[in-house]
Amino acid sequence: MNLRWATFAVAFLFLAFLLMFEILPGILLVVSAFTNKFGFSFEHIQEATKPLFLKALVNSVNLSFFTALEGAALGTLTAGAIWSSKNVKVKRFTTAISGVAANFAGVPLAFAFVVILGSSGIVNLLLERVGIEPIDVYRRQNLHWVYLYFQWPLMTVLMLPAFNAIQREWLEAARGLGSSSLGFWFKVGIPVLLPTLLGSMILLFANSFGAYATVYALSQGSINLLPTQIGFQVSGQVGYDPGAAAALSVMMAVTLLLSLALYRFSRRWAAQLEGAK
Amino acid sequence: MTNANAISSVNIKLENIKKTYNGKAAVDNVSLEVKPGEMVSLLGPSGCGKTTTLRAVAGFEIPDSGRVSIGDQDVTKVPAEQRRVGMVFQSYALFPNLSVAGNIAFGLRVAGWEASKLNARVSELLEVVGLNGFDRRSVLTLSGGQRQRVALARALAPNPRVLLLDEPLSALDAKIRAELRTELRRLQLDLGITTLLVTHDQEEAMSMSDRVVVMNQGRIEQLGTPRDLYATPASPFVAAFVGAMNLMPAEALGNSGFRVSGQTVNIPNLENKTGRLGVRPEVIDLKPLEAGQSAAIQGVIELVTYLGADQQVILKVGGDTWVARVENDQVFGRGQKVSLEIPQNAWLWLPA
Amino acid sequence: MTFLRRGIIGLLLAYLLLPILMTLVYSLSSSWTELVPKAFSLEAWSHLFGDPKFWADGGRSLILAFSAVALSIFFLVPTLFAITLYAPKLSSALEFFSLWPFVFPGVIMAVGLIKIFSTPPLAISGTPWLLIPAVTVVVMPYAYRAVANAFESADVRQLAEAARSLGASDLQILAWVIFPTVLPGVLSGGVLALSAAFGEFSLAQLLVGSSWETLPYYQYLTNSQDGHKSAAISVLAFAIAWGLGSFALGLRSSDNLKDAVTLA
Repeated sequence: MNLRWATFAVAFLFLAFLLMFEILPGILLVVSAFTNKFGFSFEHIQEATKPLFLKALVNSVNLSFFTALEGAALGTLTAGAIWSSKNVKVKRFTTAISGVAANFAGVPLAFAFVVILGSSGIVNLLLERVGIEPIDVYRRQNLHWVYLYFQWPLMTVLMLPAFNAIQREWLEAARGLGSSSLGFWFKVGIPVLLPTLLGSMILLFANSFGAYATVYALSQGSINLLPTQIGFQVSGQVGYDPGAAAALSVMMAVTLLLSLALYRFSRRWAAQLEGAK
Repeated sequence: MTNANAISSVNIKLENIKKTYNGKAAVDNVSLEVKPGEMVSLLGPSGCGKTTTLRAVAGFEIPDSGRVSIGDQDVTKVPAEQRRVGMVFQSYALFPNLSVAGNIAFGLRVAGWEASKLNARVSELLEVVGLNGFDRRSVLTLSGGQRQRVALARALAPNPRVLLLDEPLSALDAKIRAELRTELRRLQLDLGITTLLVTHDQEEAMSMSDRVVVMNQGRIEQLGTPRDLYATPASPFVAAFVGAMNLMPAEALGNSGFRVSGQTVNIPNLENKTGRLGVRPEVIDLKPLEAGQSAAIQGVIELVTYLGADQQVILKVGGDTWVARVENDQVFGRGQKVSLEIPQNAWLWLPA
Repeated sequence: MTFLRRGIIGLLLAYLLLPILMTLVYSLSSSWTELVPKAFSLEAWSHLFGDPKFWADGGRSLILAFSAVALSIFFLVPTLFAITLYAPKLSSALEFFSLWPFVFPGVIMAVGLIKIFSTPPLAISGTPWLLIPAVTVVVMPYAYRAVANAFESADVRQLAEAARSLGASDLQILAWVIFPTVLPGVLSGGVLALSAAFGEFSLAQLLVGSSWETLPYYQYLTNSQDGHKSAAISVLAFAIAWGLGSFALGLRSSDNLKDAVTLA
């Protein structure tokens, strides 16, 4: 048996599989966004720019940007705390649970938040008791509390390697040269972390931008975001317009592609800095 | 070492090997014969083609043209797994899922040895490389030096016809490297196995091999015994790569001398040619000069480094920096004027 | 400093664990309209485990998850082997296609898939025959990262050369050297992909919906009917994710952790 040809045979099968279930659907999506019955047309793209859809896009960008910012700030601080902590058990447990929670989106997460922030959610009962306005989890403005559940730990896990690239000797060298601890972070620490921080923020943005299951399970679509609109236009519960769905999908894919390109750029930038160990 | 391990030695022959990558010749018309039982080093900077040459012998590279033979059998097109060569890699390439014994036994398992013979052979090799009692250890728990011993035992176990060593010591600490160097050479001589070694470390090449091949840009610059290379380097490249050398541009002064670093060197220059003159640091003798005195070649001491057995002196001669290695009995100071005494026959003239 | 450090780590742990703990309490309570639950009962859990539909949907989720993982490993391991050993230049192409779901997540993949597969001769929309391949594609990044890392960090090329110089045939190299070496990576990637496939909702809803119901869809339908039962499912899902996640993390060194979540 010749392994070389056997493995290449599997690789070709793989390619055929990807063509059928990944590449062709992707191409078809783009094609149908730019055609109608008669051929090339901007009909669907125009449709996708009607106020309702534009509002969805703006809402999605707002939500994703805000949760990325929120997650980045908290996650970076947490990663720094884990990095400087000497308690190995705490380090390990926090890292592990962050890894799990970062991937824990979808229906189960949505319902867990209904339990605490729903109309008779326990946290809301508490807030009412102390006289603070309860948080209605079904409102778009409060969705970020749910997204924070995976954005915060995701940022934490993404920032840890960058912190680990900062060597304690650098801090010691800086202090030997007369710099204060705070001065070190401003002059060396933050510049070294910056590419990873920005790159991870982009990743967080994309992560929230493409998230569908959580918000759908929470609101059945009463929250107007880009992914929920796409879902509607194909599943036909509210409107049924596959053309518009394709156009909206292209809108989303372009945003994600842009994010991915920026992320790659930030990785290369980070590799340069972290390589200088 | 017992005679049971002795191997019937065969030769390795490379004829006009050429290998091109992306239009650039990695190995350019290399021919070489390693005699039975001989140890030959391929020495040169990275990218000089030495590793590609070795890999052509192992069967991991197929040359674009030329012939590779082992023991007078043409193996140019024979797949690596049928060549019966033992190979040791810089990164050890030990199988992480197998124990020390499992690694050593790998080639024997593949060849279908029966269990009792196999076990005996594994213990024999553990003994040879000095790792008795390590058989059940995971290779991940070993130090670099130990790992390379396992790799060596693994390569030798199936009685290969020749041994190929690809920078085997480069990943190790200086002390272990020196230790293993001697051990490896002793083992090679005991076994009498024909060995080709790739290295970028001239000290390693000189100390371990019968002959050294200096390679540069895919070609053989010089092939000879370590003594030959040191005493009569064929090119400035070899002179600079093998041992330390003061190598300066030399301007012809008629038929009787050269001008070097602003000094006049009176040695015969029959063809009145410009080129380079070289002199090894250890042939230079230094004599202090009193104020007002002068000498044929003179310099000013910049730095003296005590090295235990001798001392290294850095001098300014004309505008150039020279190095001399002299005995410890003289004490020199910075800024001292000295005369450089160099025997006429110690100068090496090299074409520009 | 220490106070701040403990504070932020504690805050994160509270944010991640409290919702789950409260959901657990909620699933165990029969009535919880005041600050403290009035009564506890195992009713929600017994309803859940007593519902044949739960077992049927769970079974479908298992079939889906294991098929998707088996497919991705079946494709990835030989392909990575071929590319690493014989065609290293193709590795960026493989990476590109494996990370494709980053740009085309489930929701929009569904749009394209429905277009192709709802008209004959390929009318498999609404059946597991479409859902399984689609989920395979969507969880590919998880499997790809782990398996590719294993191939990279083991320096598979060099190991294969060492084995070849010792006389091993291609098949022996694969079975005795490569496979055991990359196995931990394959397992951890497989487990992460399993976890993701098990919880996959968007494709399940948009491609098949109730005609081939899986567990996340089951919970989605339960949400509006029985909150306590739904809470039980949330807790169960978190426990499974936690179990699979820590198993996967145990298989890989901590510096690879980043890759485990890069494509969340």
